[in-house]
Amino acid sequence: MKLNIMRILSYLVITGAAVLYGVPIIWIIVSSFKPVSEALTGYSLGQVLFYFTPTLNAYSRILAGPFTADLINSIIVATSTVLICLALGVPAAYRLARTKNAFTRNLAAWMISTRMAPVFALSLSFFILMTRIIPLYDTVFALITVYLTFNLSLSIWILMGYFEGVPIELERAAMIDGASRLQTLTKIILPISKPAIITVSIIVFLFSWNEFLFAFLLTSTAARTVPAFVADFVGIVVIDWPAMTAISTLFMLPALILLTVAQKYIVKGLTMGALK
Amino acid sequence: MIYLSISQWKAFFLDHPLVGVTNFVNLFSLANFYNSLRVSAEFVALTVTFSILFGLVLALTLNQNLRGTNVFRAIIILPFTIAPIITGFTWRYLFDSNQGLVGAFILPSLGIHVGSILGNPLNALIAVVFVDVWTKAPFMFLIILAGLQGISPSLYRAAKIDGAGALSSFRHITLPLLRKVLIIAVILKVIDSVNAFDQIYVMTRGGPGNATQVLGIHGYLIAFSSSDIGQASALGVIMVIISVVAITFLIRVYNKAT
Repeated sequence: MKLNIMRILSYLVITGAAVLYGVPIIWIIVSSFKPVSEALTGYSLGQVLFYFTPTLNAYSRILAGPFTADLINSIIVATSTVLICLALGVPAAYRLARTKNAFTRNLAAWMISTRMAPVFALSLSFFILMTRIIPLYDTVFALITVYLTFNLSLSIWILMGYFEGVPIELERAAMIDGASRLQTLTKIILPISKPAIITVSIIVFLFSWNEFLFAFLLTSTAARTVPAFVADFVGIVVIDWPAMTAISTLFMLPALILLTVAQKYIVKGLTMGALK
Repeated sequence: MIYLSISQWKAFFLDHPLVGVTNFVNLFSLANFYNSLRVSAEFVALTVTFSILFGLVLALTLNQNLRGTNVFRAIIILPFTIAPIITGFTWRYLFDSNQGLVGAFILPSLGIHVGSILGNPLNALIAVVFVDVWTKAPFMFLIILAGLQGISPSLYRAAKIDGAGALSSFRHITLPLLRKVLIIAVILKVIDSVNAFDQIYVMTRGGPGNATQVLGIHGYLIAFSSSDIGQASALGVIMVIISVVAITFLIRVYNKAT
């Protein structure tokens, strides 16, 4: 009997949390199909949520504006960061995983130190660096550089942990068969390490896709990504809510898709960064 | 990292001659600086406490093989994987006293009339804390759940045989074994809260007045509204010192726990 009460309580907690987390997202998606936003006083919940004629008006409006260019910037920045991270991170992690010395043992501490650095303090130095010293301000390269500095160490660290688990006998066997180091890496190690590579790609992608402070400070119009666009858009006093919700819906799509197809990898990547 | 720390120091002096501690002296003479210190302290204390409590409750609930766990987990992790700027905006919309689901519909139907939520200093701070907890608790939940799953079930079985109830096995098994994980969660959340910026910027910009002006927002305003990057960097250094002191203390606690 007591167990049943616990069970009911648990389901209550779960349902409550699901409502708390689900409803805002649904609200945003539903609102993006509304023709105009209107005051809610005097309506019932059903009317508020479903009683309107759905329209794609908001979407066609935002896609005709500067949003499209910013979305393309976001895609360029996020995918290049992921690709460069893997291109540099995989060889580095492989080398480190096969080398044992004081430096590689302390790597975790280094990793954590780059993640703990207060972002705001760093952002100012990057701002000065990109505007005065290296003329990268308002280019996608500025953002890619910054995102790499934040993500490369984490990527190397996750990959290294995985490579260390790959039995060295496999490599020895390949080498005896005449494979070079590079061939061993591409033909033997990489195929086995698919889970780690997917995890790293997703974590790095989400970071670069969602990052705001640097995108906001280091770009103005040419290389502006969507988060910075949103901040500029919200700055206007009267907010065009349907347009804003349409932007949000489009922008959260990748996270939605990744979460449905690769939830396992996201959870692994998020907790791995914290718990080793 | 070394290169970065050098360039960070350069940021003080690039355009100006060396000014020594002037930036710090100016910073300390501002009433706004103490305000943002206080707001940040409140923000850190509240968000750390509540996000970890909420995460712990969720993790304990989900750690008992209920049905639908995966779907539920996906639902609550979703906000954490969406850009904070978008979730901040989402809540600003929900809190809107004219068109928002919470501000214009749910609260009034419950008979609570608070007017403009983000326009009132106290409510704005509560709202900002609430949204931060809402966004970050899922991450705390993931970390704590991973910690819980590392506890061997045989311990609980042994405790049950010894006649321990749910509450006492929580106190004597779960909490001590979870302590390490909880400290890590606190460390991560403290870092995150000290650096809070995105959501507050999009929700209130530190307003109304300076009620939600945490250190990050204050620094941003100094740097880009008053165009005083030197003074903002001084604030950045203060933030570094605060983080380092807090983290060193927590790591000491952590080492004692192990």
